[in-house]
Amino acid sequence: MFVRAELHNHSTHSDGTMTVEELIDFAAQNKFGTLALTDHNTVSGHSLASEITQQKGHELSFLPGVEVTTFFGHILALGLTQMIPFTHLNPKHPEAFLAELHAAGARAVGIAHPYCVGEPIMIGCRFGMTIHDWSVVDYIEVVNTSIAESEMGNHPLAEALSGNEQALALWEILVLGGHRIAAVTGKDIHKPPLEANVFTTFVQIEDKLAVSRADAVIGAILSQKTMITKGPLFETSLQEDKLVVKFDNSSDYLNWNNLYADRTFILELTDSVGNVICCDTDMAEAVSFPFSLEAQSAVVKLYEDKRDYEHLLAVGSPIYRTGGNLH
Amino acid sequence: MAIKSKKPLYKVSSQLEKGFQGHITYTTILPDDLSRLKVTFSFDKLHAEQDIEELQAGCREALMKNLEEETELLECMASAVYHLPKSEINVSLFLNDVCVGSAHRNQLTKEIWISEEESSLGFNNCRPAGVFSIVLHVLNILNDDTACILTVEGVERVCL
Repeated sequence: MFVRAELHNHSTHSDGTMTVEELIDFAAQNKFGTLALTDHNTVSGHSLASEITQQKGHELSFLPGVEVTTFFGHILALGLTQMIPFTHLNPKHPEAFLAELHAAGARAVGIAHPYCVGEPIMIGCRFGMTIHDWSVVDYIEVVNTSIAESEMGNHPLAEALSGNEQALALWEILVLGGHRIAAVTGKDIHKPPLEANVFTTFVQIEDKLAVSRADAVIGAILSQKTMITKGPLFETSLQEDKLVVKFDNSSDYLNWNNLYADRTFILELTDSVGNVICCDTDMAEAVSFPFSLEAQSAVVKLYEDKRDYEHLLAVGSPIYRTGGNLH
Repeated sequence: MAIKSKKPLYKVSSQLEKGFQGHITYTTILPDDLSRLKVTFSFDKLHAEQDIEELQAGCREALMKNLEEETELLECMASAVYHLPKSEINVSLFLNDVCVGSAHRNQLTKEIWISEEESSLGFNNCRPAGVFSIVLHVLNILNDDTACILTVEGVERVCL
């Protein structure tokens, strides 16, 4: 099943305006499945967030985390429950520090808003580290919606400030280069977000869980079973030399379950050997793509009307070939 | 009966120059008889008071990195971000090499209380004892002669 996961949020424990309780109530009201609390360089809100989530009995799971806020970029460390020093971080060789985060308990380490506008407008927000070994990065926040959901949302420079299109392009290059990195979104909540037609993250987890929902969400990130979407959901599987895409239109995110009918969409597969295959779909029936035997990885995107960023509706979980199989 | 008295433990003043970026650490040993610790850090000149044109040119350059090359960046659009640059210094505290929290807020003065019973937002409850480090994360300084003041005060439990 798919679960909505909001993995980047702040409270009054750093520079957010919402208390932990207000944030949790907002998440529950807005049907988040999982909420991560990722205050800047502190874990002080975790115990209260965990307590309140349990007390209120919301259909919401809580995931602790930190946004490690450095001069050279922001690193999201999900599962980190003890902040560590970062003064020794070397932006030209950050792998050692990212490994330290893992060793200190971070279970999934990601890069937040890598192409957000940087110096001198927002110091440290743009990712300026040089990664030599991408295996230390579990995910990239390919869409950050904080500006889109603010008063600046309709400003002509809103998209330029976010740099989301470049972030998605970076992730796609890495995936097609064989790197196992999940794509997620981030609301990056600092104050109650305004309503806007923005991407969110859904993760694929088992219907019956042997672990907690929060653990399952981490597992989905680590196995790249995440998709970013404005409502439509789909999963991919390999059947011999074909890649099959099955749709799930049950999500009510942005009222998708009522909007999709009687419309035509474009599904696009891009693989690691440069093939780009497109087909129209009404999203009722599954779609089958031929999949090159030479391809080691692929990305599937769904558009409405036109294949450009403005018309992008969803990006599926990346597909990797392992020993002749895709997963 | 227990009463409490406050005692100054540490005070340092400094000046930072425009363009400085770095971490500044102050470390001391705390006395054993403290029930609470108060750290106050303040700096001045939040917004640019010098080289305004240079700063605005930098803003336009930063925006252009996220726009198509041929895009004409209109002044009326770019001016929407001119107010965003700010001097920024955040504060993390460590007790015996363990991070107890961080004050990451857009404030010129950050007042932090630490104790076993209650600490300021952003900080874990903990007993203020042992090796104490204050790390100033200086992200951005927009003006020369930016003044900074750091004070540490302990609240001592006294038995009569």
